[in-house]
Amino acid sequence: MTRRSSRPYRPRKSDFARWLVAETPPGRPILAPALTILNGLKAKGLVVDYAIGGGMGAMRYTEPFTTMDLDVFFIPAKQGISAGLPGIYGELKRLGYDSAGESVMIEGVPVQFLATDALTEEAVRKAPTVTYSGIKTKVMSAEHLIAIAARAGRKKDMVRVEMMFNQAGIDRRKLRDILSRHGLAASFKKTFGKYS
Amino acid sequence: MTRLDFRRSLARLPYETKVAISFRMLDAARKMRAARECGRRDERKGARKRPGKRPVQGART
Repeated sequence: MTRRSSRPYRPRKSDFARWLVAETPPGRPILAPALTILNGLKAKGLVVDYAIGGGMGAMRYTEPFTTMDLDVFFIPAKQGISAGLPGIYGELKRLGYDSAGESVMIEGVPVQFLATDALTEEAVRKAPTVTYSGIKTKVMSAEHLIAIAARAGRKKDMVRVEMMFNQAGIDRRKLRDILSRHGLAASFKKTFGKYS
Repeated sequence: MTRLDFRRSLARLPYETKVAISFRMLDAARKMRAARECGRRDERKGARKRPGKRPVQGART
């Protein structure tokens, strides 16, 4: 990757990346309706808190890439095996948004709700608040996203981790702390030795 | 500007813009895949469909 990246960048007429940047209207708020609804779920007490994770979360720190849906990690208001999902899905259905497979389509954006475990709950609680087109929301920190991706260990997660190390300012001390507290240090070192 | 510099400059774009670009990339990828599938031989009909035509429902492409 280093060898490829150090090559001079010569844009061509058919350059897809430059075309996308030029053709995409700045700040088009695609996620705005979904985020308004998520904030509504929090206000109604159906979730304790939530944060954006997965690919859409990682994109806050990296170049844009394709991702299938908006992964929303939430701290459930009700403990139990269903994690309050029937209540969330019921409220969304009342608002006119039906589930499609694993996600719920909100104004053209597939949103996947994922109940938190120990690592992701910490990530949600410590996620920085960001403003997206005037709407306040939370996006997980780059260090937590790396830890979650390293735990998942899929090929696309590895690519995402590499991108975040190359393009985002990673606090390695914070990352090491997260990895060691959640028992991921050894597996991370094995997979991403050069970054540990 | 190296390729890495360019990619880093993309990473510095506003979050809203990056999300919009991502959705456009996904849309473009879907369109390309659909166009590719239209050009493949349709096993059920035994003929190559013309580009731009929708694939036959249920056909193994």
